[in-house]
Parts: sequence; C-alpha cells; structure tokens
Amino acid sequence: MKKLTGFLICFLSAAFAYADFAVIANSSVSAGSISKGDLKSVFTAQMGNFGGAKIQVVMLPGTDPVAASFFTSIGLSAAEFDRIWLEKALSGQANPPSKKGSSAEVIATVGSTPGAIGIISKGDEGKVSGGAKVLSVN
Amino acid sequence: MLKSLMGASLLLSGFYANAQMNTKVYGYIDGYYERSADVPQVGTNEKEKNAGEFDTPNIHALIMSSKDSYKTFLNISGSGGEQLDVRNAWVEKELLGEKLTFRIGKLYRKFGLYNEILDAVPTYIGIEPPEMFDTDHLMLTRTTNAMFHGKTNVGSDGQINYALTTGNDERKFDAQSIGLDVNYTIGTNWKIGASYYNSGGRAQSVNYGDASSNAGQADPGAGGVLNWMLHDTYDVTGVYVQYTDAKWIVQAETTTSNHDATRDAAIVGDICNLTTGATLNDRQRARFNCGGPINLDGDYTSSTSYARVGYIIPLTEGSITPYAQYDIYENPETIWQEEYGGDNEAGLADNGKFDKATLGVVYRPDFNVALKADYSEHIQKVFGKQANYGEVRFSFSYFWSL
Repeated sequence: MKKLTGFLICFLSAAFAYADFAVIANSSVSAGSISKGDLKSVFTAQMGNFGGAKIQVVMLPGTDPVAASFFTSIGLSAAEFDRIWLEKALSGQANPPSKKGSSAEVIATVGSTPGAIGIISKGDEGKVSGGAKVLSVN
Repeated sequence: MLKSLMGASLLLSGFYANAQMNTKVYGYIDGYYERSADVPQVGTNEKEKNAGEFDTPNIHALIMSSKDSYKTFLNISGSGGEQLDVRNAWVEKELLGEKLTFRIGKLYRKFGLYNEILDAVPTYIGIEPPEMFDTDHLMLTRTTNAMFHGKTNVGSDGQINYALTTGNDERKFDAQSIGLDVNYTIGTNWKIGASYYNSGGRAQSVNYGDASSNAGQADPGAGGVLNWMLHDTYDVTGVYVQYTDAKWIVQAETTTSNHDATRDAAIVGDICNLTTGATLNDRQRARFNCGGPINLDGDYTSSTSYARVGYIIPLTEGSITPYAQYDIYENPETIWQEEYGGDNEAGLADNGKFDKATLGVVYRPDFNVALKADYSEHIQKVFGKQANYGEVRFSFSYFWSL
C-alpha cells in the first residue's frame, strides 16, 4: 500500500510538474510547437536559432515554482541554469536571459521582443495575446 | 589588426544601418588578494620576501547586440579601476545558420576549455586560471582576428562544435597562423575535445628587439614565443574533457608545444652577461652555453596539464563548492627573471618544471556573487633541494546587468 501511495504521489507530482508551465514565443518564431529536446537546447544556449528566429530567452526567477517545475521537466537545476548562462554570456557566446518577476511580465516581454521564448504559468495561457503565442511541447 | 578592425567596422555599419537590435549590457566587478610565502631565488640562499598584493577593483563591461544573422560583442576591462583595455571587439555573421558563422575583429580563439571563458571568472572554480593561461608562460596568444566556427547536432543529445582561426598573432615575414578546435558535447554534461595551433612558419615575439633595447624591457605573456628567439616555428596541441552536473564539475586538460627555434645570440649574450650567472642556474647556463659562443639552437618542448574537481553543496540560500586542482607545467628553455621575458615559476626550478596543488572553496550566496578562497603549494626543486612555497588567495566577483 505504501508503495502504491508513493507511486501515486510521484505520478501526480510529475503530471503536475508538466502541467504547471507553458511555453510561449514571439510571433516572429514560425514554429507552433517545440520538442522537449529542442526546449532544453534553447534554454541551455546550445541552440541559438529556432523557428527561423534568433532566440532570446525570457525566464522567471529560479525560486519561482513555475520555473522550478520547468527546470525539473528538462532535468536541470536552477543553479545549473544560472551557471550555464553566466558562462555563455560572459564569454560572448549567447545573450543572457531576460529575467522577469511574473508571468504577466514574461508575456509582455516575449510579445514585444523578436525571437523571444519564455516560460509562464500554465494558468496564464489565456492571457497570451498580441505579439506572443503559446507553443505546444511534444 | 587595423585591417581586421576595418573589416569589422564595415560589417558593423551594415549591421547598424537596418537593424532592430536586441542589445544587452552586463558585466562584473571583481577583486583579488594574494600573499605568497617567502619564495626561493636562483643563485642565492636568500628568499624573496613578498608582501600581500591587492588587485581591486577590476571592472568588466560587456555589450552584446544581435539581430537576425548578425551579432556584435564588446568586452571592456578596467584593470585596477584605472586603464581601459578592449579585450574583445568583434562582429559575426551566420553564413549557414549556426552550422557556419564568420567572426572578425579582436576575439578570443576557441582553444581548450578555458581560453574563451577566462574572463568569466565568476563562473568557474578556482581563482587562478590553469597554468597554460598564466601570463608568464602563455603557450600561444589568447586573441586572434578571424574565426569560422559552428556547431551541428548529432543524435538526440549530442553536438559537435568546431572552429578555425587565424590572425596576426605572433609572426614574422609571411607566416600565417592557423588554429583548430573541435569538441563533442553530450547534453549539458560532457564535453570532450581537441585543439591545435600552428604558427604557419617563423614567428617572433612582439617584444623581440635588439640587445640594447630589449634587455630589461620585456613584457612576458605576449604569446608562445620567448623574447630572445630570433624566430620560432611552433605548434601547440591539446586535448580536454569536462563533466558537469548539478553537483560535480570535473575538468582535465593536457597541452604540449613543440618549438623549432633559433636564439638571438646578442640578446642571450646579454642575458648571460647582465645577470652574471646570478639568476641563471647551471642547467640554463649550459643550455645557452654562456661561457662560450651562444648556442643558437633553441628547440624545446613545453607542456602543461591540470585536473580540477569541484563539488557543489546547495545551501538554504546559495551554494558552497569545495574544489581541488593540480597543475603541472614544464618549460626547459625559460629563465627566472621576468624582466627579460622569463618566468619566475618554471625558470626558478632546476629542471624547468613545477607542480602546483590547490585546495579552495567558492561560496555563492546568490548566483550574482562569488566569494573564493584557496591555498596553493608550489612544488619544485631549486639547487637540488625541494623548495616548496605556499600562496593564499581571496577573491570576490559580482555579476551585474542593465
């Protein structure tokens, strides 16, 4: 019974983690979806171009539960994310991510920045409009 | 250099003319304190007394702009908060997406694990760079002028990164240097690569000069050619591996440089005479043949290797990372006196070889801030006796962005 309970907790946690965030992009990004592999590559600066655009990552603070959920889904810690981007930015390899305090700010920044891709709370998907769109993750 | 900057300017003017740019301004401030124990000297039993040395604050400002297939990068450093040094100023254009990009200007070459990230002090374990990048004994110039580079995906999680570089570097006559770097990365965890550099013919130190003007005015660290070489045809080969994850940082790299070189008799004669034997050991004097006609054959091989390991321990706020490093460096040709273009580490040792063992810790209360402390033990033989000495260092860095 304990094992079953543990399994259910893990299963529900994982499902919650994936359901917790949504990926949005500026309308200059031609793609309507992104694979999980490409998502990780974009957010670790291994891929600089996506959907015909030069990518600018927009991120919530690492302490935000939505960001934490996103990091878990791509197998990264917030500290690794910071370390990777700090190194890329200081050595001229990639633009540092724009960090925003809320999903609303992420939506506004992504909508007004060509090539921007950001993470928001799943519950805020309905607020995406203007120059931003939701990307499905497959 | 002028031609490169003009080329970069032309590309840049096209870039600014019709671009809606994404521009970021950021950088970091760092400071440093080092104190060495009394250091042995060549030719005397007296040890050199060393006061603690502050190097603070160093200000680094970086500006990156990108638009479509263009990107520019400016890296300005204000060492000691005084003079400004333009470390990088380049523009690049993607020719085949990310598979092939051309960069021109003043740029750090891709070579091994550290050359490009050496200014990214807050990001790595350790206060000092690996010995290969100690300005007393660089194995090649850090900057060059043109680079084709790119990356291509392999399989689901792999990526091959490649770069081909050339530039003024250190050269003589019509020699054209060439540099190569290829590495394979697996996700964000593994990087395995190899680097190669060839001077493309005879090279000469930018600090080379005749005996009267050169002696005593040398500036170590220009690149891979020693100041007293009339010419030097050389290559540098390295292999490296890195593993990182949420807890571990493990790095290892080994580099060898082969020199087919000819000494300048007048300059070496000056070194022999001016120092009157007091700062050359017996092996060095014999190598130069200081007592007779100067030996002009300056062929030699230098090499360096290091291993670094850090373990990240998360805290309630931030993290702490204890680390250990071991460096080995060997150069049989160099001498002790830095003012002649020598190296007071390898040049001090009887056989031109020293080891350096380091233990340290990085405390990051936040990702913007890194506070480091470490201790190194230099291990070498001087006059047949083990003559180790220690160094303690502290550093801080603060990453900022606008």
